[in-house]
Amino acid sequence: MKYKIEKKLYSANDKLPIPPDGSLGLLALGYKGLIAWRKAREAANQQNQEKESGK
Amino acid sequence: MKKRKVLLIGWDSCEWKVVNDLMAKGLMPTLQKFLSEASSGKFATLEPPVSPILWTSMATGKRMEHHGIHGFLEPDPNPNSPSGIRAVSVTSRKVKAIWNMLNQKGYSTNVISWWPSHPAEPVNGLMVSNFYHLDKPAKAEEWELPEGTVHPVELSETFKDLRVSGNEITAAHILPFIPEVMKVNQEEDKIVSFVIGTLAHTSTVHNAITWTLDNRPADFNAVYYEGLDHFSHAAMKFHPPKRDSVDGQKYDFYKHVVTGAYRFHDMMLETLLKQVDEDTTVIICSDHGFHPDHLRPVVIPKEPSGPTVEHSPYGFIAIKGPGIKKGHTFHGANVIDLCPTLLHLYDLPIGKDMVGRPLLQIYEQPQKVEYIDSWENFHEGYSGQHDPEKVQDTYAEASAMEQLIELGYIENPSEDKTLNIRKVTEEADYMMGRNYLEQSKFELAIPLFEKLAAANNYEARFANRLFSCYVSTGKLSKAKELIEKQKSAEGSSEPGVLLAEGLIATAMNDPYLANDKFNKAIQNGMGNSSTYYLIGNSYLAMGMKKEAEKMFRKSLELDFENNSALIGLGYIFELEKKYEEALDFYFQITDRILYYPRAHARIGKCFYELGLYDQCANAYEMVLISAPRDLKTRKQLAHIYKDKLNNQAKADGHFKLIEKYLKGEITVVTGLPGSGQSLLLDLLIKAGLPVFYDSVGAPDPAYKFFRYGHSAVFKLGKDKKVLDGADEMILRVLPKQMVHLPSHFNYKYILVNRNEAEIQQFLQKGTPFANKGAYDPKMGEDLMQNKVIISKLIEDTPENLVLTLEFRDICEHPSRTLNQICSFLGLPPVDFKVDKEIIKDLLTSLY
Repeated sequence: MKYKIEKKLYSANDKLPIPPDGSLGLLALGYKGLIAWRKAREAANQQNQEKESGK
Repeated sequence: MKKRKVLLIGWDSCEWKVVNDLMAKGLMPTLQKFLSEASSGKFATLEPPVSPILWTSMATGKRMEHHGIHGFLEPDPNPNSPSGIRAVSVTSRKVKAIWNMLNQKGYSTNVISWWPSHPAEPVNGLMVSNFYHLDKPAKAEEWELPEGTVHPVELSETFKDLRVSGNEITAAHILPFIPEVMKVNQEEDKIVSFVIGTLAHTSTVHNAITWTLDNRPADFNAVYYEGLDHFSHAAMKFHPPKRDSVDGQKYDFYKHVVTGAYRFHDMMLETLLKQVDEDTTVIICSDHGFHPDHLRPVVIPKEPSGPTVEHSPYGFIAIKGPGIKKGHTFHGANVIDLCPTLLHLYDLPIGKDMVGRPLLQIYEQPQKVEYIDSWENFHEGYSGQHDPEKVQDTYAEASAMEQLIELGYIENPSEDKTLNIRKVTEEADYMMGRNYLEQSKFELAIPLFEKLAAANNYEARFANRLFSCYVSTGKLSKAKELIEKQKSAEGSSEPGVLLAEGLIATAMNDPYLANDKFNKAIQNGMGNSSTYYLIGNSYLAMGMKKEAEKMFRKSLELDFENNSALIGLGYIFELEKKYEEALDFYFQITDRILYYPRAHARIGKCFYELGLYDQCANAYEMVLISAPRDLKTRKQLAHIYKDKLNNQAKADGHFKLIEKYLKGEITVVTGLPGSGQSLLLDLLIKAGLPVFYDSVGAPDPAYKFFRYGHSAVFKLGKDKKVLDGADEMILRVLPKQMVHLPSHFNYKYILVNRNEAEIQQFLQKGTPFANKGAYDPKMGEDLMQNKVIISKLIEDTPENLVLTLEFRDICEHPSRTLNQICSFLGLPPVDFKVDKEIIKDLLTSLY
């Protein structure tokens, strides 16, 4: 399976989406990055589950 | 005055060469900015470079024989332990760590994941042990937090949830390390899973410290990251530049791992620095470096702690904070200086029983250092130490052991508990032996290595170090016996044996034999930088400068940082009076290493010959900083101050020290009367070597053969000072006079041997016993007494301090004999050619 990393340029104060698959940047932020990532991952999983059950 | 706050960040294995390379490419911007505002330098490690031992030395200011942590594993006192052994526990630490000392003085402390720190100590603050980040054991169902991991225990649930499991790591995390990870056959190649695991562990520790700094900051916060060490063990072999021994495909897969690891640590550093204010002193340090270049070993020995051969001797330290110099590089720091430095930062006294010293050179205005006898005798306040009887649960052990096995640091334990305990105890003894060897405590190291070698069929790693101890203490016969035993041992190699035989020949001052052995070792495959240096050295001692230069240059081709080869090459230029060229080589050393006495001594000599006496004095002062007992340098320096720089005060200071503490050295020529000492001494005098003699010689006609002696020797029984003029000279002494030799000198001995029948014939010339085949009874008794004295001398003196020469060899090979003597005296070979005709003339004139 091919995995593509999208590169984008961001400016200061941009609100960034937390990718459900996480990133090194989030890990580097420490516990706050971990919590944010797990939340985004949980939300994405729930969304997927809802999509699956809605089919 | 504001209370001092410190954030101490341990990056295991952080290596300056990698850091410098990545900073030059702009890939570590956080660290680069940090260093521009910090004082930094190399951080010399200790032997053995084993992390739990080192990080404990760093926390306590003591070496392993005092702090009690002896390796990765130890015997388990828990009778229910399935293997009989366990990962080393903090309860084995016998002395206080910095956090205990700070607690006693009312400071709060947080310590995350120090090695070793399980079970967590009940400090005034927070402690999370080094078992925190470990994976779920293979056979366990739930990922429990091992009991004793977190103090206070109420925070266990909080920290439990901050761990990152390897199962959570995704391609998004791994691709920056291994871009072609999808092409790797992960069934066969375990590096990917190892990188995943290491990333998870590192993040787990990082989560703990970031949570702690935001929610429970203390006066002292310390965190230990093992990540760089683990990433490096997995992938430094694949780091650019590619080595011929590395598989091309694997190189392409893993060449970014080490760079990725360092960049990730730089990113984590940015987070940490944002969590502390400008009043916090931040220290980043490592326990050792990690070879990233041509010094990477091609083969990792298959033995416990084998991977430590990848460690390099210099780690990293950088300190930034109030009152600390900015953008400053300092030298001479050792990992054992960390604890004293931390104590001094908090204005606390250093224990006199600590080996290290505070790094005062980092301060803009250094403060006075206070001392106490020992923190172990200071009992006020609460230290947060464990009850020594504390016992751990075995669940935690399984996971810790699995990680050490995966790293290659330990073997899989067997089912035989007794065997496991024996092996772990042997490893601890081996580590202790290496520790003593580094401190030149040979009398303590030798019994350990002898026991280990004998119990393990003279396995190379034990036997080689025992050999080194024997040679260093002049026990050359024992070294030879050891080589014989090693020949039949497993893992013994022909080139290894040849190298050892060459080293013994060098110690016995036979450069000709040494040269032969080293050349054979190279022909048998031991063509490394060290061996080429040894050959070069032997050629130098043989007076063959061109050949020596060739070998030193070959040595440097293989390792351009081989300091011994640089000194050898410089010395050759010195012998040719090309002092400026010689300096070029010596400066290559001192540009990298501030304190290197051998190089500074040679630099001083060159400046002296060039008439630059101020620079000469500076160089000799540098020698004496690291080697204060170097008598030769101190005497030279004293004379330079007195005679060249008109500084009588400084000269007198050195002369006083010389008189009070230091011994001179005399080389004694002795042997049975009539053995050929006069011949030898005549040769030495003609060759220009420093012989202490006078025309008075022996006062008694009974000593008619005592030529080239000094009359002072016959006054020794009454006045010990009569030999003060003989310092650094060669002196003839009769065996019976040796008991009177004054103790304020060190002695080396040249013993001249000759066939007793020849001696008898020589001594009986002109007597009724001449040519009658019988001893004059009085002469016979005299000879016997002298023989007993000489046997005792040989027995009592280290072998490397006795050079035995055969009369026949002096006559047959006089030039070779002269070179051997020069080597023995530490002098360059003399340019004095002597042949048999000269010897014949000498013999005729003498006898």
